[in-house]
Amino acid sequence: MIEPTLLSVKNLSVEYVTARGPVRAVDDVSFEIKKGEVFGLAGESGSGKSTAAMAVMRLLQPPALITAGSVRYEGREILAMSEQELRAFRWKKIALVFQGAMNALNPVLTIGAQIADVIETHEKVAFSLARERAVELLELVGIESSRLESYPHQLSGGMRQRVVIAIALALNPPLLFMDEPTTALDVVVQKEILQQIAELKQRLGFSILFITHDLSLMLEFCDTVGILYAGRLCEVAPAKTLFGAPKHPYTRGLMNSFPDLHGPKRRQTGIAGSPPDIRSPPTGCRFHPRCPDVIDVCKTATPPLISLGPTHLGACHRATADGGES
Amino acid sequence: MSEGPVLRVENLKKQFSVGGGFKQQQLRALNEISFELFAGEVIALVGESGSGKSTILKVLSRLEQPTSGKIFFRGEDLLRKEPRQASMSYRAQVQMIFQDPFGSLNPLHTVAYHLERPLLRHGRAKKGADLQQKVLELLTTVGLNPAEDFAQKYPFMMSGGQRQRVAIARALAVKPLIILADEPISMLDVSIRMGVLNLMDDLKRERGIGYLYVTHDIASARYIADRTMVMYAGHMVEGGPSEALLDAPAHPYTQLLLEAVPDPTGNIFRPLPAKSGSPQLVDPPPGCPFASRCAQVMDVCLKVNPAPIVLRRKDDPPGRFVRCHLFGDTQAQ
Repeated sequence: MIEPTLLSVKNLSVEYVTARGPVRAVDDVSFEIKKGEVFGLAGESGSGKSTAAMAVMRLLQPPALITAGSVRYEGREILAMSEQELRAFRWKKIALVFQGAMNALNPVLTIGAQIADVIETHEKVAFSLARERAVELLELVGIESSRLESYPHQLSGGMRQRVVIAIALALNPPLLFMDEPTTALDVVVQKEILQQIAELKQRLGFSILFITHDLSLMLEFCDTVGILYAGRLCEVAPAKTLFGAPKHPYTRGLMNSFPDLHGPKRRQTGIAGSPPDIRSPPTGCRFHPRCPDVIDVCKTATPPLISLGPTHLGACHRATADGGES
Repeated sequence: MSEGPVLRVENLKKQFSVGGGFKQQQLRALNEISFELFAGEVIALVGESGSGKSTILKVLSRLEQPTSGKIFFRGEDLLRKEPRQASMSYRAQVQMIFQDPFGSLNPLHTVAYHLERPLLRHGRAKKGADLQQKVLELLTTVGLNPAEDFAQKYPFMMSGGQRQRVAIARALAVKPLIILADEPISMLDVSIRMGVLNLMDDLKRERGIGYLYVTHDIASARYIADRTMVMYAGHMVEGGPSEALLDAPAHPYTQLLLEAVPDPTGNIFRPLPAKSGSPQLVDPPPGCPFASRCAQVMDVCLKVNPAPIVLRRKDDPPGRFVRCHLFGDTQAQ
C-alpha cells in the first residue's frame, strides 16, 4: 500500500554566514514523509538534524540561510511562502514539540491558558470554547482536567512534556515535528509518553518527523530512519532494515556503539576519531577519516545518495562498488 | 595492598533539611546504603533521577557529610580519622570525573595547565622537564595523540570526547585507587562513548583502579561494571553481578526499568509493568518506597521497609540481593 507523500524535501542546503565564510550545516538533504508515517532523523550533535527541521518550518534566523532546495507540503512550496502565509501555515499544518519542556512553557501562565491561547489565536473562537478544547486536549495526553489551573512549576517534567504535546496537537496538525521530545526524561516516563504519542498517532492519523541522537529509541519508534553525518544524509531505510542490515559504515559503527542488554559480552569499539568540525569538513565523503573501509575515491569524491534496494538509500562508494553487498 | 575491599560503606544515611522556619522537614536522600568496592572492580549505580546515586558519590568525595553511617577506606574508619574534611592523601586516592566535560575544564587554561596543577599540588612531579614529561605521558595514556599538540590546546578547541579524556587524565595524574564517575559518557556523542568506556576499562585492568560508575544507561552498566546496584528513592533495592542481575531481575522496579529501555527490535506498545511516578522523599511513609507504584504490592509492603535478602533462586550467583517482600524465606518465583 502506497500512502501519499505529505512532505517532500529535495536537495535542501542551509548555510550559516560567519566571519570566516559560509558554513554548510545541511548539505543537499532529500527525504519524504508519507501520510501516517513516523520518519526519524538521527545524528550526532552538529549533524544538522535540528537545523534541517527548523529550515523546513522556515524558523531559521540569520545568520542561517537556506541556500538551495525545495520543501513541498502537499505540493505547496514552503520556501516560497510569504510571512503571512507562513503564519497561517505553521502550527495548523506542522506543529513543533521542542526539546526541554521545562523551558518551552510560560512560567507565569496556567497551562490551561497556554493551550487555549493557541486555539484562540489560530481559530478565532471564543475563550470559553477554547477552554473546553483545552480540557479535551489535556485528557488526550493523559492529564486530568483538574490540572488546567496548574502552573508549569507545579507539574513534573513528564507532565510538562505532555502539555507541550497537547499544545502541538491543539489545531489537529497533519504533521508533527518532535525534536528530542523525551531526552531530559527518565526512561519509564519516556516510554509512557512515546506510547501515548504512538497511540494518538494511530487514532488521529498524523505523521511525525522525529529527531533524536538515541538510535535505539529511533529504531523502536520510527517507520523510516535517515542517518545524518556532518550535514549529509548517509543512509535512509525502514527502521527494521536499518537495524538488520545497515549498509553505510557510519550506520554500522553506530550500531556497534550501543552496548547490548542481553547476550554474550563482547568488546565493542564504537567509531574511531571524533565527528568533524563542519566549519572545515573533510573532502570527499565526510566520513572518510573515520571509516574502516575507506578507499582512495572516498577522499576526493562525495558519494551521492543512491538506491541500494527498493526502500534503501545509501551514500557510500563501497556500497555502490560492491553492489550494496557488505 | 591489603586483601580486603578498598572501600567499605556501612549503613550510610543522608538527610537534607528542606523548608524553612517552623516547618523544617527532612528529605531522605540515602538510607541504609552498604556495599564494598574492591581494587580493579567497577560497580555501577543505576536508577532514575533523584534516586540518590549522585549523592553517594558526593558523600564519598566528601563534598557532603553523611547523616550517619560509616565509611572504611583501606580498612580505616574515614569519618573518625578525617571527621571534617578529606585529607590530601584521601583526595589523591579518590578522584572524580564529572558528567559535563564542557563545565569541568577551565576555558581560560590549556590542557597542560589542567594536568600540571594536580601533579604539582600532590607532589607527583617536579617543575621543569619532569613535569612536562608526566603531562605528555598522561595524555598518551588517555589516547590524546600527538600529546605535544593536545597539551597546548584550550578546551574550546576539543570535542566533548577529547575533553572527557582530559578530565580522566587529570584524575589519573595523582594515581588514584578509586575513581568516582558521575555519568561520564551521557553528554558525549554516541559514536565516541564506547571509546571512553573502553579507556576506563583498560585503566581498571592495567592499574587496578576501582570505579563507582553512576549512570542511567543500564546497557553501559552491563558493559563495564562487574556488579550493578539499582537505586530507588535512596535505597539500593537490588544488586549483584551485572549480567546475572539484568538477565534475571528480581525487584519489580528493576523489571520496570529494563522494560522501559528502548529496544530497537521491540514493539512500542508493549505495556510497562508499572507506572511512572516519584517516591515521597520528604517525610517518607513507612514501608517499601516502591509500594505506591508496585503492581505486586502486598499489605506488608505498606508497613515494613524490606531488608536486603540474599537471592538463592536457581542460577543466582553469589552476591545477589534484593530488598523486596516478594522474596521471603520461600524465594518465590
